[in-house]
Amino acid sequence: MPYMQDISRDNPGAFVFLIDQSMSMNKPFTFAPNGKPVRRAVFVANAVNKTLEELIGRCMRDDGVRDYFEVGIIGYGRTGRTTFCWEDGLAGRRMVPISEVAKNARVEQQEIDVEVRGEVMKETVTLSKWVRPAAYDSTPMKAAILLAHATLEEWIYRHPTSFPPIVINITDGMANDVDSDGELLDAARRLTSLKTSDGNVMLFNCHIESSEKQPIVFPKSSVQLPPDPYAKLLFEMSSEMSDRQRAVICELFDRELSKTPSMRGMAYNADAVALVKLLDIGTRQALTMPGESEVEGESAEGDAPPPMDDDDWAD
Amino acid sequence: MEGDPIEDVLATATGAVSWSVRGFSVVKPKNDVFGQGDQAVTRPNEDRFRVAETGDGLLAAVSDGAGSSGLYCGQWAQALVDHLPDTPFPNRGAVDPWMGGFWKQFADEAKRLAADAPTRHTKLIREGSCATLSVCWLRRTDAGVTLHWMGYGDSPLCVFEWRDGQPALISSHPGSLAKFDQAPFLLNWKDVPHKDHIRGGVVHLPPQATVMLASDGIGQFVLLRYLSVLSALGADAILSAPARALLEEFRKIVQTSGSKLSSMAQKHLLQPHGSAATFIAELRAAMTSEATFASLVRAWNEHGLMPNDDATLVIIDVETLEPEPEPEPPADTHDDIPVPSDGDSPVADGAGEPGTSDGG
Repeated sequence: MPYMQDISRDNPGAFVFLIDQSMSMNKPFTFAPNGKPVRRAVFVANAVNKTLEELIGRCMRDDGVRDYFEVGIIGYGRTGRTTFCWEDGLAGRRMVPISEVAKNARVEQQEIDVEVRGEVMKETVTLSKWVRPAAYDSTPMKAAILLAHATLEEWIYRHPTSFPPIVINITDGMANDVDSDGELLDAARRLTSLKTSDGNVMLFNCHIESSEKQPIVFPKSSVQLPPDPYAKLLFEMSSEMSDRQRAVICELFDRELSKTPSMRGMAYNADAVALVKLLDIGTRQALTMPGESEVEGESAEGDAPPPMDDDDWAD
Repeated sequence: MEGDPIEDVLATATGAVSWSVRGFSVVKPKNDVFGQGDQAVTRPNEDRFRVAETGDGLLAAVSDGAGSSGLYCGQWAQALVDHLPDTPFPNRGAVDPWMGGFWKQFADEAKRLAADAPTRHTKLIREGSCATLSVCWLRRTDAGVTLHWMGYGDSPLCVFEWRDGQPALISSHPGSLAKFDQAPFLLNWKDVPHKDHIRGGVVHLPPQATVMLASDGIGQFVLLRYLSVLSALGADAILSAPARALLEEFRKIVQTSGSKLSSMAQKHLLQPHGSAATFIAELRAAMTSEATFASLVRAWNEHGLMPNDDATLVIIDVETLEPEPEPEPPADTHDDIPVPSDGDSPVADGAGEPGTSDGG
């Protein structure tokens, strides 16, 4: 059964983020709590940084960060210069073990409100950052996909039995390094044809948009999308979700699983909320460590009544 | 391997009741070893257990630190079992005030430990420390032994009654196998315990009973093994309601596919089956030494019968002895000669350290 391999140090997972750094990423995307506009590039960088921080958090134990994942971040905004965009101590690296990612963060302190046993308390925490907002000129998406392909082909050679790598592509526009849609689709299909013994590489595509258009998240068919060839192209490029992912998505989006036999890993016209949700779902599957479950237990004891409960004990 | 054995520590005979306790906690068979500087560090066992004599009986508890949620979860599990009161929680509402008595001391110490690593400190602040808890208090009463229990999360607590030499499951927490396929509810020092997630009750133990407390991996093994034996026997009619409900669920699970629980249940069903009594005897035999227990846990895991998880098991055998018939008074006995009563026998000195032990 595919997509069931536990993530462990012997069988680590892999995430590759493809980040659009084209000129249009300078456009406003959402608003900060103080009412100031936030540019697309800034919001995406923050969202990816937050996702990396959460990945590290899941790998952190009392005595350090365990290497359950390797991560790569590819920025594409300059034709001919698509590359991994690690900086500082990680500059020049490609796939980086999560413990090294953790060690090479730029750290800022921040005071936050934390609820402890029902009371709000002030605590100082750190914010870790790796990705800087960037907006250059073009959208060489195909080059980014090819770089991900080359990188993951080599990664899979080293980890043939791991949970399949997950690629999350965040973009606000159309690729301009291809002559046809088919060229981009072909590159995406070659990427998702790579596989470990546990399944194929998964590609999530998140198209962000600042307008008031309704976001479409994890569509079950292309009919749900607007009559836009680019939306259909992204749908075709995006991976079919696994059974476990579908179950989690249906749970989170309150959809009926039995009526959702298929689903693609994409968001179109994604607003800030939709982008964060897609990042959450995209990384959630592989975050299920041995002994964990994706969905927290709900109403106490499942279907059966709690046989040991005693009315005298209940208050 | 972790922990000190408590084998028959409390093999006592107090009045009309005797009980013996065996308990071990071992780290998961395929454990993580990871680099820390130039050292290879082995992941520690995050289960804890405690067995202690109380004024009127015995307390036994298992807490499973959830290392993937929060930090210092093994230590938090230890704090939970260490601070348990000698007397049962009277109701659900008593759990939060109890945690209120020690959470801050724990949290302050955890923050101190994390202070030199900002990202670790941040994780601790955001997530806290998490563990399950299952605890029972065995109390001697005039009518025999009463078991009071409380459970938060999926660490199993099972009560078997011995009938004609065979164990019959009469109570089980959790009441559904599906719980093992879900993320458990966890006690966290950051949070007020959710009353709806607190389970508890009182069970009047039959004259011969076996109580088991376990962490989820081996507890799941015990239940699946027992239910596979029942399934093979096909003797549903004589089962208690909880056992029948679990057996029905077991039969549904083995018909399904796609979950680790169903795959494990199917493997149990394919194992050769003896009687349920033989299975309990095997469990007791597994607990003759920590090395034997660890070795069997490893074997069960390798055969796909048990998840790769820290394993803690406490087995308490309880026997309420029939009162001895009063001897016929000799013809010349006077009424003022005292007759020994059941409740006056002193607690026998147990071998080893009565009281507490832990998995780490």
